[in-house]
Amino acid sequence: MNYSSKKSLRRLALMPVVVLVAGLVVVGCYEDYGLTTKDFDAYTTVYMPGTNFQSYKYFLMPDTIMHIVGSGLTDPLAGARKYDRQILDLTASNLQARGYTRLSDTSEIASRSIDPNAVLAVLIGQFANEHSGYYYDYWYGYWGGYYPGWGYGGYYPPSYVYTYDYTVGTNVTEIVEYGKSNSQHRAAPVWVGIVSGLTGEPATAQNRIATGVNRIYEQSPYLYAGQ
Amino acid sequence: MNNLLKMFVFAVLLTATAVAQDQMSGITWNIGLPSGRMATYVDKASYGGFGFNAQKFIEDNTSVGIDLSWNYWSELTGDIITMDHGAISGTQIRYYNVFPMFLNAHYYLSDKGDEFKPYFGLNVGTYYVLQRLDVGVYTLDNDNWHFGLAPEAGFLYEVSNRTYLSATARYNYAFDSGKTLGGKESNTLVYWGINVGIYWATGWF
Repeated sequence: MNYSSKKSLRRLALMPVVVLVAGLVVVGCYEDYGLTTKDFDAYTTVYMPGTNFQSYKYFLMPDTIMHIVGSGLTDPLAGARKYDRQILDLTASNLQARGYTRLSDTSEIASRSIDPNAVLAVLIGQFANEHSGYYYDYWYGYWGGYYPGWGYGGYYPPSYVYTYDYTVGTNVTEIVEYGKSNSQHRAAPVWVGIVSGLTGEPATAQNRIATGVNRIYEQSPYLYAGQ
Repeated sequence: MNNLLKMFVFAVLLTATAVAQDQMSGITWNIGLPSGRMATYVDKASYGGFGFNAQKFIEDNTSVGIDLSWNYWSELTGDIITMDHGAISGTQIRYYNVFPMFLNAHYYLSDKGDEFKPYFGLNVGTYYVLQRLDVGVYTLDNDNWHFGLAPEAGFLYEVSNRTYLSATARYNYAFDSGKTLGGKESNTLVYWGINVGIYWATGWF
């Protein structure tokens, strides 16, 4: 084997090392988008297939938001009560902007001889879910976590165990057919809008809630009275 | 991560057998340009990819080989995702990790002594595809194996003794397999690849 061939073979033998290094560089290239609390807000809307939203002209809405809390438990969203007025007002204004007329209460249906089947009922509820747990960053622990002088003790938990604990608040707006719900004695939903996000950042809560309530209507262009 | 490690181990084993006459191997930087349905999920080019390729010449102008690579897409967006009966929106991070694993054949349009060696070829094999969507605090993900084809055209250019720069354009077509993240019926994946790299040859050239 001449010198040139040996050199080529050495280059070939180095290739897995090059591939490995290149791979590790790429593995480390997962972008950090610098997400903030508001980036974890999500807005979901679902409608009942076949619903003709233009067949409804009115809506009823209780002037309160129901907090769904387990029996005997403290309401984790009690502090969010101060935003209830804002949520109710924004909900009403969005529906009115889409042509629906708000009725003050159910007695108006009879007094104005309104067809109950042309009426929607808007119900808003809130609940919270707490998430907690841990994860073990085995990759960091294996490749970069050995400190000289520590011996193998450096690998043992909890060196690379991280915990998390966060609460997600959810605001659910459910729109049901008033007439059908009354006649069948159970809710007949036609549309649900869900705003969810992390709690614990009061400075941004008001804007985030307003954005969320408006967003669920923006992404439901079919929801209008047609007037 | 485990898949990546397996790939590296495979590359090491492969290179150990590639040290022989009439063979060449190389590494490439892979750029991916999504197309078709894939482009509705991630629409920007991916610059995070690499590949490993080894060839054995069975005739003067024909080689067969193996190609292992990785293309990675990650995109931050606030687009509304329309579902069958609704929509979901919010800040999202959309990911694709695609691992093509091919057997291939190349035909060279040049003579042995030429510095510039254009070729065309066909890759046949599988794509292992990981798709993931982060929206809000929630993550949706799935993984599927696809049978796939990837015709390509490219060239090698000799820059020093038995060392070549390479560039190739590859049309990646992963046939329908499994379900999409949204549960839609067709899960075909199509993207263009532009791969540039460096190759080392023994024997043939």
